[in-house]
Amino acid sequence: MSGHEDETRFIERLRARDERAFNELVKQYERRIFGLLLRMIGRRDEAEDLAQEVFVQVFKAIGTFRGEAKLSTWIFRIAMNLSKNRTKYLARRRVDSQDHFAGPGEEVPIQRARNSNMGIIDRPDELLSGIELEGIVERCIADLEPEFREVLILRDVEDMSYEEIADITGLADGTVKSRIHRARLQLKQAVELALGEKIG
Amino acid sequence: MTDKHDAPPPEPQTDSEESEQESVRSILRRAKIRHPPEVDLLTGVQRRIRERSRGRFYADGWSRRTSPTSTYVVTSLLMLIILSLVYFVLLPSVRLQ
Repeated sequence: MSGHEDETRFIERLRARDERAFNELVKQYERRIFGLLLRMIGRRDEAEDLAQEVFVQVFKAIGTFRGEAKLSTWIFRIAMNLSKNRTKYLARRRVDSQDHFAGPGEEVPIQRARNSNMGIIDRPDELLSGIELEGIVERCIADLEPEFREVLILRDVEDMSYEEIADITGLADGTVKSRIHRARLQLKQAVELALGEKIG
Repeated sequence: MTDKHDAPPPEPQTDSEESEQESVRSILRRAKIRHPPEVDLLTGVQRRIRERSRGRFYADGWSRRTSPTSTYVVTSLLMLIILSLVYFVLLPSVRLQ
């Protein structure tokens, strides 16, 4: 049986409100959806709450899913829409959306990097090994403009195609490509600045 | 069912795009950004659906969590223990009669 037939059958079970099928769906997507929301919002508690809300919305709206896009694309679109609404809400409440990333990134010896000369490193893997890089990159992603952050995460973290990203964000293909390009440039520059070294 | 995470469709890219992509992905890999964080949402999702559907969905304990197998095993063991207790409590009184 093909993957497409499997997915069609699975969607039928979801439409019939098969609770076991829905449990499978949650287990299959929970880490990806949570990861996406965590990077979009920057707060674990908010991301977890919103990720649960995404699946509740999926459960409620599965009857309206027409199958024109892939199920994963549809779920990510719901997640992205809820994320935008929540970000606006949090901004109104003046909540610092980057609390989650304070910590590991701050502990990196930036001072030492700042004092070093800027040189080109051919093997970023070697350069970055052994450094508390996670915090730095998390912080740099969080500092990107939301419209750049979303396409970068969908493309380079979630491995989605340009077409899928266009479908999720509602942007034209060309806009998606140019935003990804600019997002990568901004991220690279930010990481290089934080490390005090040129990458690649 | 298929998962988009498994195999993204290949798309034509220029050399510079490809090297730019590889450069950024290399950073993300090294920073472990491409590994989704651990989380368990199922219980919370089930509770929300149960509450909002006023018990129409996920109403019984059997339908919750991924598999009810552990619930069956625990219930069976519990019943065995109760039956054993009842047996050993009643046995002396039966002997006395």
